[in-house]
Amino acid sequence: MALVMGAAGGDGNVPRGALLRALAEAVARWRWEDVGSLRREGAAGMAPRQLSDAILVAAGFNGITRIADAIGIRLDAGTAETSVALRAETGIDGFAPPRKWAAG
Amino acid sequence: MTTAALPVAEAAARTHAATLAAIARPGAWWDGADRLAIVRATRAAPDCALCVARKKSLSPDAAHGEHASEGVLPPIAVEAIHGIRNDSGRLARRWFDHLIDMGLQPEAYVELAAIVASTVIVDTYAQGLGLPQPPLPEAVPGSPSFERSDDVADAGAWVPLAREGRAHILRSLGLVPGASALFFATFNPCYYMRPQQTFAIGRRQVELVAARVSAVNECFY
Repeated sequence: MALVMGAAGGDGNVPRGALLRALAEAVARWRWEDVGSLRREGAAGMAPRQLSDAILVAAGFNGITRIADAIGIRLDAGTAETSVALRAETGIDGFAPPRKWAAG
Repeated sequence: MTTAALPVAEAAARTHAATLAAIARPGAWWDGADRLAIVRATRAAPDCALCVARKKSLSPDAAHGEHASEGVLPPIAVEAIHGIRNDSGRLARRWFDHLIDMGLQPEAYVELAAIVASTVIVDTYAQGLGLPQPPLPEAVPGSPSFERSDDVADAGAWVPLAREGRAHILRSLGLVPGASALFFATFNPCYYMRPQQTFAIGRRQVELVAARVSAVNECFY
């Protein structure tokens, strides 16, 4: 989880985790020079199709996070119940302050 | 330094071409020319000086001025597009209410959000591979259908969601079914939305990328 939140180095038991984390971050921030560097770095240990698919997933989540934020959806009840500890550990709840839903 | 482009996934290429073709057609609340203007405004948003100033501010309300715009769309629509494209993690109900108070209809907003987010997916994928943003088709003449679903319910979001669905995100654009179809057709090849979906990277790698992008975008969902 620290790998996801950017608080840990290494691969976090995910194959090529550090590179994929950096690639995801660069794609999400639209830092194309960094993406190009990471593509070259990744080519040493990953197939082009693997890098392409990682970028496809990142592109998709760059879009769907905008839908979630733009529509102001709330967490599903089931997810909220099962992810209390995870959300506390990661600080994700900080991304959903009460003002997000406070009218005028 | 130039970098060779990576291979384009066939399903994604087909889908993304279909997305742009669909955007060029009349929608529910915007015609084809307007929908393509939304795409162009999404693409221009990163260079908007007002958005850059807002992004640097502790609160997005702190910076004032006018958005960079080609002048085709109403200013309130440009505000919505730039907010969703450039600062989605800090969007708030008060901001949405302002858009509505200024005359943007909730249905038009839902469709606009779907177009912006679909554009983000198409362009992010192309540019991530080292390719240019795909060219836009010509607008298809015709009027909007003014389609609005009545099969919606209040689920605590800023707009009503589709009454049925496995998760709020899947219900999110249900107020305008055409907008929902557009966005999820674009998103589907990007994740495990169908049982037959596979990727050249493993499940844990997919989840890591997805989670990291969500964290960078400060999305709680």
